[in-house]
Amino acid sequence: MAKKRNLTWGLGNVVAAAIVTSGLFYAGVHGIGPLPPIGPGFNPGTGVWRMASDAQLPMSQDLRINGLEQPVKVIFERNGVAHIEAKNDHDLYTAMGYLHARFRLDQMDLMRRQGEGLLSQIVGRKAISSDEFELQLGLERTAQQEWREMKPGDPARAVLLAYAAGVNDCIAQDEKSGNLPALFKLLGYQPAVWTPIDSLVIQGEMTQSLDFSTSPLDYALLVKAMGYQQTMKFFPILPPDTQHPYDTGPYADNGLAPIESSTTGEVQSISATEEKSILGLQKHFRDLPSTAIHQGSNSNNWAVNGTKTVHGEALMAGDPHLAQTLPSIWYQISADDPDTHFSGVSIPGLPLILIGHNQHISWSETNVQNQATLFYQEKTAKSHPHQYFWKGAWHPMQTIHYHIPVKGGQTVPLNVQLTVHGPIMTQEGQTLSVDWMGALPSPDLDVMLQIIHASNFTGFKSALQNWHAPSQNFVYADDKGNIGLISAGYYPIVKQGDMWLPLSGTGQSDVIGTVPFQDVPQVYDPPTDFVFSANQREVGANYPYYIGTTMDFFDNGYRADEIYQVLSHGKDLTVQDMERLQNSTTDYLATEIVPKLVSVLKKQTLTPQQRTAAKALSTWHDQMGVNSVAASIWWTFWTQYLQDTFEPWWAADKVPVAQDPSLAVGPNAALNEDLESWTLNDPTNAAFTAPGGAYRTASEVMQQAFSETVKQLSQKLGNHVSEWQWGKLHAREFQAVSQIPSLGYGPRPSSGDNWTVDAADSNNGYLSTAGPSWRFIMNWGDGKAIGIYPGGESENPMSPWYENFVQAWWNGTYAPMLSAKAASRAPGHVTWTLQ
Amino acid sequence: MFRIRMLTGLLILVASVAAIWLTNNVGDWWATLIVGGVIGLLWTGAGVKTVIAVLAGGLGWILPLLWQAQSLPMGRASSVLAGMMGFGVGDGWIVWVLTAVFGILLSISATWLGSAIARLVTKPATT
Repeated sequence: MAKKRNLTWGLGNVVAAAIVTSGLFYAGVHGIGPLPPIGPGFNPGTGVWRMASDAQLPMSQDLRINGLEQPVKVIFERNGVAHIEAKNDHDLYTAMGYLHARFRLDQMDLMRRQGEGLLSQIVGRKAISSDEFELQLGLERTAQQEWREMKPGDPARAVLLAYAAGVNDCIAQDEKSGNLPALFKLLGYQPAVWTPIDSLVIQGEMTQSLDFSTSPLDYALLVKAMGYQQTMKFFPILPPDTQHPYDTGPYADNGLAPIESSTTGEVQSISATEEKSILGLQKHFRDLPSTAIHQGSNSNNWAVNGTKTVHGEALMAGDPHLAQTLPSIWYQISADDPDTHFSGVSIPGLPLILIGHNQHISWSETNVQNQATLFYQEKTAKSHPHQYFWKGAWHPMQTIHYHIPVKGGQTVPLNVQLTVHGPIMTQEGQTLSVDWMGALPSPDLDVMLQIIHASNFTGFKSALQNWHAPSQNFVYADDKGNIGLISAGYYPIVKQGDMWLPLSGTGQSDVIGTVPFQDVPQVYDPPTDFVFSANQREVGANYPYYIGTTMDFFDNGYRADEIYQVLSHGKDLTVQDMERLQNSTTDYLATEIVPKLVSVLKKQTLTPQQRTAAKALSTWHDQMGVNSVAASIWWTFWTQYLQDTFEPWWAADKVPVAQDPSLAVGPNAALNEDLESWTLNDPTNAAFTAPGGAYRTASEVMQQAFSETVKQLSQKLGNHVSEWQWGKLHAREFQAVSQIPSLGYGPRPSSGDNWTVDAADSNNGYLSTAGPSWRFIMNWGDGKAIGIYPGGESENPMSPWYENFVQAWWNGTYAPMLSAKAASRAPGHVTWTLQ
Repeated sequence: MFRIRMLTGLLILVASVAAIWLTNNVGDWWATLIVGGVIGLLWTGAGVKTVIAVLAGGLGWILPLLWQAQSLPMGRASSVLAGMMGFGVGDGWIVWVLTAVFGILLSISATWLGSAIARLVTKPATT
C-alpha cells in the first residue's frame, strides 16, 4: 500500500514538474500575457540584448553576399551615410537592398505589413481597422498588377529582383547570426522573404499618404449642414486671395473638356441616413494610422538660373515635408557603377533615390495636391443583392475574400467588393465606392530609373510622361544652367458632376480621362529666372481644367508667397541664401494681416496689458521664432479671429463637428484664404456678421479676437506679456515609427508654424509632427550638394547613427553630400567589401 | 568527503554555467532545461541541488551580459528595451530581472523534473 502510495506520489511529482517545465518552455517559445517569447527574446546570446552589440559602428571588413556578380565596395562616412561602388547595376541594387535591410529592416517590414494589411498578425486586434482599410483600398492588388505588367527585360523588374535578393541576403544572415532587430524578437516573429511586390506596396503606401483624401465626404457633410451655396462660398474651387502660381500660362486645352459645374440650381445634398453613413466612414478613417490619409500640405522646392546667382550657374533646393519620424522615412545614399551615378535620399524598401542628383541634373518633388480621390454613390437595390446599377444595367460586384491573421486571436474574414469605380468603402446607409488614382498602376520605378540616367531636360520630361501617381511637382536644374518644373501625374476628369462631392455611380460621372501631359502645369527656363512650388495651386484661374478646390486640397500658398518674394527680388544668390530660405520662419500671412490689426488697435482704448501686447506686434518682424512673444500673440489671434468669424455660422448650421472633428473651424487652407481676402479687400463681407447677430466688420471681429487673445494667453502663460514666448506654446515631436514613445524625440520647443517655409505642420497648430523631412541644396556652380534630415541612418535606437542628424537639422545646418571617392578620403570612413 | 562533494558541486556549477552560456550564444536557450534536468538527475541532496540550479540558471543568463557590459552599454540597452516593452525608460532593471528570473526558472524547473524522474527510477520502495 505504501509502495503504491510512493509510486503515486513519485508519478505525481514527475507530472507536476513536467507541467511546470512545459509551461515555462511554452512561455519561452510563445510568450505569456504581454510578455514576448522570452526564450529566444531574452537569451543573452541572440535575444534582444544583441541590440547593444548590433549598435556598434561597423568596422572595415569583407562580407559574403550571395548573388553578387563582382565585389562591391560600401564606404560609410563617419556620420553613417553610405556610398556604393559597384561594377554593374545588378550588384549596385543588390547592395542597396542589403544596406536598407541591414539598417532599416524593422521599418521596411512594418511598412510592407501596413500596406498589405498584415499589421494585426504581429500586434493583434488594435490594427484591424488599418488592415481592413488597406485591403479594401488594395495597395497589394495594385502592386501585383504593376508587377505583372513588368515584362522580362523591363529595367525596373531587374532592379526590383536584384534589390529583393540583397534584402533577403541580409535577412538570412541576421536570422543565422541572431542579429534581427529587437522589435522582431519582442514581437516574436521572423521577417518573411522580401519580394518585388513588397517594394511596390511601399511605393503605393507613399502614394496613399500623399494623395488619398476624404474631402469629398467633408464637402458632403458641409453641404448637408449649410447648403451648397454657403459651402462653396466658404470652400470655393479657386482661392479668393492673391496667390503665386508657378505656371502662369498661357494654357492650352488639348481636347478634354473641363468639368461642368452644377451651380445652376441642382442642389447636391445627402439624406440623413447618408450623412450618418459618411460620419461612420469618417470615424473609421480617423482611427487609421496618421499617414493613411493625406492631411495638410507638403514640401517646398525651387530653382534659380545663373542670372540670379552669384556664380552664374543654377541653384536648386528641395525640402519635402512629411511626417518626421525616427527612424526617418529617408535613407541617404550614393551609388556608382560604370552606367549609373546618383546621390540623394531613398525610402527603405524602394531600390532608388527619389530626390537627389546625378552628374548632370538634380531634382526634388513637392505634392501637386490636385484631387486624386473620387467617391461614388453606387445605386443598389435589395432585389439585386451584390449588384450595382451602372450604365443602364445591373452588374455583379466583384468580391475578393481575405482572411486577416490576428495575433492572439482568430483570423478575421473580410470580403472586399468592387464596382467599376473601385472598392466599396461602406454599405451602411448607402453604398460608397472610391476611385483613387493611386490604385491605378504607375510605373514610378521605371520613371525614376530614367530620371537617374537623364542628362538634360528632354530626358527628364520624357521620363515624367509616364508618372501617374502620386502627382508631384518635379523641380529640375542642370549643369548647363537650365531650370524647370513639371507637375506630373494623373488629373482625373469626369464626364459631369461636382468632383469635390460624392458622385453618382450610375455612369454619368465616370472618369473619362486625364489632363494630357502637354497641358499639365509645367515651365522650362521661364523669363522670371526662377521656378518654385510649395503645394500652392500651380496654375492661375484661367487654367482650362478642374484640378481641385481650396479644400481638396491645395495649400493656402503662404509658403509659396514667401518663396516668391525672396526669389523674385533675389540677386547674386548663394547656397547660404538657399539655406536661409529653407529655414525661414517668416509668417507671410502675418506680414499682411498684422499691420491691419495694429492699425485697428491704434483706434481702440486698450488695457495696459493689451497695449503691451499690441506694441509687441507693432515692432515684430513676422518671424515665428521660438523666443518670440509676438509670434504667440499672432498665432493665438489668428486662430481666434477664425473662430470669431466662422464659428457662429458653424453653430447656426449645426455642422456635425462633434461627430467629425475635421470639420471644426481652424487654420485650414480655405478658411485662411477667405479671412485673409476679406480682411484685406472686403472688410464688410457679410460673413463677419454672425447669423442673426448685430452688424460687424472685419475691424470689430479683429478687436474682439485680440481681446480674447490677450485673455487666453494670460490664462495659459501668466499676466506678464514678456513671458509669452512661442516656444512655450509650440513644439515639434519626431515620433517613433514603431509608435513606442521612448524611441521618439521631443516634444521640444520650436520655431515655425503651419505655413512658414520651415514648416511645422500640425493639426492644432501647437504640436508639430511633420515638416521638412529632408533639406537638399544643389549648387551647379561647383557641382556639389548639401543635405540633412532629422534622424539618422540606423533604426537601432542605441546606434550612434539613430538620431545623429537631428541637432544639425534643428540648427539649420547641412552636411556635404560627398561622392564615393570623397567619402573614401574622409577621416573616419569605414569600408565594407561585399563579395 | 564533504569537501569533495563541495568541489564536485562547484565543478558541476561551473560546467553548467559554461554550457548555458555557450548554448545561449548560438540561440539554444532551451538548453538551460537540459542542463537543469541533468543536475536534477545526477545530484542527490535537495538543498545543494537547488542552490546549484538557481546559480547555474541565474549566472548562465546574467554573466554573459555582465561580460558584455565591459565593452558595451548594456545598462542603456536595458533602459531602451524597457521603454520598448512599455515600461519606463528608467525601468531597465526589469529587463535584467526578467532575464535572470527566466534563466533561474528554466533551470530550477528542469532540475525538479530531473530529480522527480531520478527519484521515481532509483528510490527503493519502502514497506
